[in-house]
Order: sequence, then C-alpha cells, then structure tokens
Amino acid sequence: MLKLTPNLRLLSKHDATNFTKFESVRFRRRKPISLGTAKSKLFKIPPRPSQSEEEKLELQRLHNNYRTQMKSLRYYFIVNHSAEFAEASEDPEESRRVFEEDLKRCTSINEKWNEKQREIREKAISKQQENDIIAALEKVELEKKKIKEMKENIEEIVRKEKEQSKTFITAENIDAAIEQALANPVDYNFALISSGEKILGRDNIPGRDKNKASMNQ
Amino acid sequence: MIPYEILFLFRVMPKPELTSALKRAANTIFQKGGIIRKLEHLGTRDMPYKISVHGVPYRSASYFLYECNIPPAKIEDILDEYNRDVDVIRRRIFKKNVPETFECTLHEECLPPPYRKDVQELIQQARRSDKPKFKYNTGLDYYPFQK
Repeated sequence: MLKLTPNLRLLSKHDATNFTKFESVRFRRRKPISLGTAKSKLFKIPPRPSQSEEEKLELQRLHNNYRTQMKSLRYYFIVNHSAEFAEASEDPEESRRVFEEDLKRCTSINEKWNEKQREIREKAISKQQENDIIAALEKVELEKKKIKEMKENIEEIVRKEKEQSKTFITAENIDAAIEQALANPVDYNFALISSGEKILGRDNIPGRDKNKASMNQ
Repeated sequence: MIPYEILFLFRVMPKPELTSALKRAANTIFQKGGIIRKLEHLGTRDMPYKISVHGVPYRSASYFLYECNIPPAKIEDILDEYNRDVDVIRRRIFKKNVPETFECTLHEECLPPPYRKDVQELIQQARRSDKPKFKYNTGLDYYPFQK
C-alpha cells in the first residue's frame, strides 16, 4: 500500500485511474522520538546530498559577482567621502581647517533643521493651548449651566411644596379632614378586561348596579 | 423630610369613637414634628384573616391611609405610640413610592430582531472585533482571478 499524502492512501499500485481506489486515513501517527532509532536502521548511513558540478559553478559565479559589486560600491563611497580629508592630510593645520569648515557646514544644516522643527513645535503647542483654553471655558460654561439647572430644580421643588402646603392637614382642620375622609371612602382596586378597559372598585361587578356595589363597603 | 405612608387598621367602632381615634393618631404625628398631606378612608370590611390584638380577636376593620412627612428619627416613637393604642389593629409605615415616568416602547420591542435598535448596536459591536480582512485595492467588488 502506498501513502500519497498524510491523509490519503492508494489501495492498488496498478489501478490509479480514478479516485475510487483511495482510502482516507483519519489520522497518521508518528512513532514517538523516545523509542529511538529502529534496530534495522541503526547503522544506515543516508547518502550525502550531491550537487552537480555545473550548478555549483553557476551559484559560485553569482555569489562572486554579488560580492564584487558590493565591495566596489563600499570602496566608492569610502574614497569619495574621505577625498577632501585625504587631500589635506599632509599639513595638520590645513586638515584642521578643512575639518572645522566641514563641522561648520554640518552645524548650520543641523541648526536650520532645528529651527524648522522649533517653528512646527511652537505652532503645535500654541494650537494645543488655544484648544485647551476653549475646552476649559466650555467646561466652565457647562458647570455654570449645571448649577443653574440644579438651582432651578430646587426652586421648582420648593415652589411646588409651598403650593401644596396650603392643602396640608394641620391641627386646626384635622376635624374637617376626618369628616371628609369618612364621608368619601376611596377604592384603588381595579380589574382589567380584555379590551383594556379598567373596571374600578373592589366590589364592582359589571352589569350590576354600581350604587348597590359601593353600598357593600 | 421624607414622605411616608402610614396604613392603619382600626377596629370597627361607632363614628364618634372612630373620629377620636383618627384624631389621636394625627395628633401623634403633629407632636413628633410631622405634617400630614392626605388622609384617606379605604373602606370598612372583613380582614383576610382573624387578628388578635391586645387580647381581643378581630375579624373586620376600618382601613385608613395617612400620607405624611415625618422625621425619620421619630418613626420608632410613633410606631411605639400606635402599638399601645387599643383601637389600632395593625399599623405600618412605608416610604412613599413615587412612580417613575417612562415612555412606552412596546411597539419598538415587538419588531423583528434585525430592526431593533439594541440588536443593531450589538451587531455593530460584534463587527468591531472582527479580524482585519485583506483588501486587494483593485477597485472591483470581486476577485478577478481564479482562486
């Protein structure tokens, strides 16, 4: 039997014309490494990987080309960059002057760049500050509004209470309030019918006389 | 002061006695520094079960409701006073329940799930945690080659 892929196995070597001769392997298990090398394979030496001479030469050529090109580039940069120093290398005074000139040039470039960056930075900071101030002012406004609303709410509550205080029951009008309460019994009970109508009253039965029902209480 | 509701079950008695009992209860509130907002009679009828108080069994009672503001520290005192009143069968103090105002959204809740706002929000929330998908930037809404 031949194993084609990890999960397919060909049943017959000679008849692979259609896919009916394949069997699917649900899992393929490897031997664990702890079992070690099999006895029969213990002294087997795998053949060394061989490379054809032509291929080897071609790869070597490409590699040599690459190395040569990179090396020449490297030298080109080194020589060009250090040319001005190389010229003045004989006289120490001259070489120092050249060095200082170069340094000055580099410093000026650096300073220019720094100046540019400083402008950008200052612009960004001032913008941020402006935004911060606007945000702070908005916050103050919001806080003021909140306090105002709170005060208004409180005022509203006090006003309502003051209005209601006229109807409070005090020691003076308690007798009248008791009379009133005894004369008018209240019933909060109600039933809902399927049409959504409320039938008020504890003993109120639809169809029966309402006055009669309330008499029961 | 916090609004409270005091519910009373008075024993069934003739009107003059009932009046004086109600007045006694009200005066207790006034003495403790409370104010009464409303007094209601909820009817005189049989109680759901027999209650024995002060050594006497009662089967029916007059139901009364006092809506009042009283200092919370005085509630114990007031209840103690009512406990000793022989005309009172039951007394209980509740914090007044202020019903919340709300908008009815039943018709929205009855919609099929994809039309409901909360479901749409949930779907969006789920989309946010999707893995980023590679974009071909071909300007086409389909992949032009065989995959």
